[in-house]
Amino acid sequence: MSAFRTLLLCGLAIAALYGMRNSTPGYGDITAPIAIRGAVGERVETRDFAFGAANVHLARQLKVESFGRVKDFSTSGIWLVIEGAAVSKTETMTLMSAEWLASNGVRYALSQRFSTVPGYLPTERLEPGLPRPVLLAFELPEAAVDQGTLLVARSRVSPLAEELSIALGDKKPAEIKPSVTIARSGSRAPWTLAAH
Amino acid sequence: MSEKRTFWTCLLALIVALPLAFVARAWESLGESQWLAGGSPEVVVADEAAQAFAGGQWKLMDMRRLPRTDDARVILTEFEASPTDLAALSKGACRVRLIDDKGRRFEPVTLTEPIVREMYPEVAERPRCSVLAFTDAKAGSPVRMAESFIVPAEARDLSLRIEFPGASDETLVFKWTRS
Repeated sequence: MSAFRTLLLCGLAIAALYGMRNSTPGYGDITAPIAIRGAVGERVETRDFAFGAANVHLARQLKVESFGRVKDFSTSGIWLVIEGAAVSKTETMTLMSAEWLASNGVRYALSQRFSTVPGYLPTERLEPGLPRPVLLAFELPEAAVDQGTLLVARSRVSPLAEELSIALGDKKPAEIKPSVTIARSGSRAPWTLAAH
Repeated sequence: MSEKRTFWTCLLALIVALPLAFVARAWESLGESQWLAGGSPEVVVADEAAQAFAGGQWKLMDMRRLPRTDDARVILTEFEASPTDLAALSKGACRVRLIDDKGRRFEPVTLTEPIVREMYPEVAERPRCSVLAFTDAKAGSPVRMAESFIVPAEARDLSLRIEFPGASDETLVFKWTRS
């Protein structure tokens, strides 16, 4: 009887250890960013900065007009262009991380092809209390747009930092434009956006 | 010792040992955390008073508020340092920030603002606060520097914070009371 009890206790201990081993979150999970949820059209705030996604555009091709020259950016997927505004609340900063999280869990980084576009998020220096219009562009497969989420953070490598999680929801544009042109502008927003 | 007593002694030892193990493991990280470290000590100076700091006598000469847009202003700060210990100054890395009454921290702009170039061209030519500013410096002869910041129009009670890690553990804070 005593041997049976010992064996049972050992079995229970092994089962408990196995359960703990499988349910313990990894280092990446326990240091993952803290999500602050919001939606397109809302101002979403962290302790350090606020961001609002205002307009969402979908296009098969992007054209960037700069100093009289037009550069075409084609893609085998589609372009997701987001116009918004960002403001720092505590200190001078640049928002270096923006990703599109598709509904199947795949993450798409902000396109690196537009470093010279005025107002492009990672090139905009944000001073506390001075909102800046910002532009984001993602190159995605068409299926990745539906039910996707925009993730914005100060940096990709800050453990336990806050990260905005802005759901596209029902704000997905009804149609995909054949082409969208981004041009420099001297007005309050440093760009104009025209769909064709 | 009875079995019961051993059990309770071991349980108590565990209660003490577990938090101790946690503290020992996390000691370095806890030391680095901001709320325990408490930040570097500050030396607060008003207006144009000179203050010994990081191998020099530092003085805030002027802080001008210049127009930029409806909701933003350019703050042009001029300050000088008379080296007393050139070796210390050449070891450190200067970091300058502007703080307002709400505690917001502004970094200096990288490119000189057009309004500064237009209104104060001689100030626009001054070096920024860095080791390079002291390359040809001589002990006792002041090195004049300038930094510009962009702040919201409503920003008030500005103070200039100068840090020189490597040369000093302190932070020099110039409070500007004139406007």
